[in-house]
Order: sequence, then C-alpha cells, then structure tokens
Amino acid sequence: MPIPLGVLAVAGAGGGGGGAAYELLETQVLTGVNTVTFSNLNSSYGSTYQHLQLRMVVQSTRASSLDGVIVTFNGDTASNYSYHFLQGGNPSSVTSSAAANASKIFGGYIPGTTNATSWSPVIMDILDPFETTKNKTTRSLCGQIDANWQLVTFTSGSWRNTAALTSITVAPDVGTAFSIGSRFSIYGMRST
Amino acid sequence: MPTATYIALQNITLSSNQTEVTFSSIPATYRDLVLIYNGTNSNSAAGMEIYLNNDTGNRSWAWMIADTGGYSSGTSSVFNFFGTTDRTASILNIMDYSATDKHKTLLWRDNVDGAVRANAGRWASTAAVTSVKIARTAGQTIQTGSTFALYGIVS
Repeated sequence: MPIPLGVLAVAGAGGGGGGAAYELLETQVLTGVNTVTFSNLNSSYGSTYQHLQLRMVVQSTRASSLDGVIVTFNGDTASNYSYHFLQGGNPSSVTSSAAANASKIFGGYIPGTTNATSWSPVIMDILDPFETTKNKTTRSLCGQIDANWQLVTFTSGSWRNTAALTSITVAPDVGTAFSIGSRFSIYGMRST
Repeated sequence: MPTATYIALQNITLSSNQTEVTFSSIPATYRDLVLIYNGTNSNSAAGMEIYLNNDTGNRSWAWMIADTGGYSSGTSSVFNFFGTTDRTASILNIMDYSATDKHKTLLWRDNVDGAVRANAGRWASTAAVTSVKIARTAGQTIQTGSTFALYGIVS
C-alpha cells in the first residue's frame, strides 16, 4: 500500500512550533580531517534540556579496516571513565569487554580508510548531562558493515564526575582524525 | 538556535492484514529517518524484510540477540525486522538517507516477548532513499492494528 509522503512532509518540514521535545542543537560536517568538540554546552543548553543525543556517521582516517569512536567530557582525559560493550555479527558470537578506569568512553567500532565507502552510524544518548548531583552516563548503538567487518556494538559508559557538561569531544580511538564528510549532530531533549 | 527536529511524516495503522507497507516519495529534506513499528505478524517465526528504494540487493546486516535460548549473533544479506505473532516493537534509524556521497547505514532494535535484538545494516548505494518498504518474507501477513510511523530528523 504505497502512500506518497510529499504533502505531509512539506507541511511537517516547517515545524518548529512550541511543544517540541527533541531539538537540533548543532551539526558539524567535516570539510577537513579533524576531531570534533561541542563547546559551551551548559551555558547554552543547560537550563533547557534534560538529555542529549549524539547522532554520527563517521569514518576514521586510520589506514586500517578498523578503528573505534570515543568521547571525553569537559576536556578530561584522566582515568575517570568506565565503559562496557557487547558486540556481535561476524564472527558469529557475542563478545563483551569492559574498562573500569579508562581515559575515554568507547562508543563502538568504526571503519578506517581501507574500505573507502564504509561509514559507521553511531547514536549515543547522554543522560542528565547538566545535573550536578550525578555522575554522567551514556549508552550507544553503533554498526560497522563492510567487506572486512560486520559488527553491531551496544555500549554503556560513565564519567565519574558530577560537574555539568560543558564540552563533548569526539575522536577516533586509534587514529588521529575523522574523514572528510563525517557528520556529527547533537540534539537536546527538553526538560520543560 | 535550537530547531524543532523530530518531524512526523506519516503514520500508518493497518485496518486489514497486509503483505507489505510502503512509504514512498520521501523528500530529501531531512538528515535521518526513523521508522517505528509496533505490530504483529501471522507467523510465529517469520521476519519482515526492509527494502530501500525497492532494491532487493546491496544489503548487508549484522545482529546480536538475547532471547530465551541465550544469546547469539550473525550476519545476513537482507534487512529484517522481527515478525512474530507476539507484539513486536522496532525502531529503525536510516542515517544520512538523502546524502549522495555515502552508502547508507542503518541501526535498529527489535523488542518482542522473549527477545531483544540489536542490528546494524548497510545499503551499498549512494542514491538518496526515497522509499522504505516493509514486506513479508513468506506466506504470512502483517496483522490488522499494526502501526508504522515515519519521522524525519532535521539537521
């Protein structure tokens, strides 16, 4: 039962009125290889949003078929993070890993440049980022599907700090930068 | 300046059993698409295939599942929602669906009585996604009352 969407979509595209709960905050699409930092988060969004969501489509510049995506908060690269993840696909078994005192939160496996057309989708939720009574927690779902790897990764993470989030830095785990065309969008879920 | 983002494009509630549901003429206005399925199927073990632009090839998929039998994972050359006689809730994300410089990537989760599954997929095409079809894989039908809601996410 095909149903054309054109009219409804055009009507919806103008949406921006009151009552919206999920809103775009910022987007960065790389025009040069780089890592990405979203800054001034608490001052810009802390009074309005309860949760954040990062939506990414990324590729690392690492000359390999495999890398990872990591996040750090407020410029903290000390061993104040923990993360756990499950991965499955090929090989056909579910494996898990954890790090108790890490310098980052691992968000999942992503491709390097071996397979030029391979990109990873990553969706990471950051819960209560602006509350100052809680350590910060994340969860993410990530995929890498190409000739070398067929992986889906489900992760959780924490930053053992109650400070409100002021910045999020996203980087490859092993490589030094993301490829041109990598996209990073941050959305806010309103608290009011 | 924040922008209202999660735009409802189309909601379909089946008033009769169907073999497929198609969202067509999807405009390239948004960054990502989200499809939420909540429904039942006439067969207890059949999945429902997901087609982008009605392409029956160029699909690859990895999944892992935890169910009453334990846990496992695998790969396939099709995209597949759970389709069972128990109510299933699935949320599918199609990332950068209108980009013409990337193969399309998908993330989705299926939840049904007795199982939870995480999935990642790739459609090896740089064409913008203009239609999404959910179709039976065997002789079953998608049951009356099943809902399919499509959203566009602005970026």
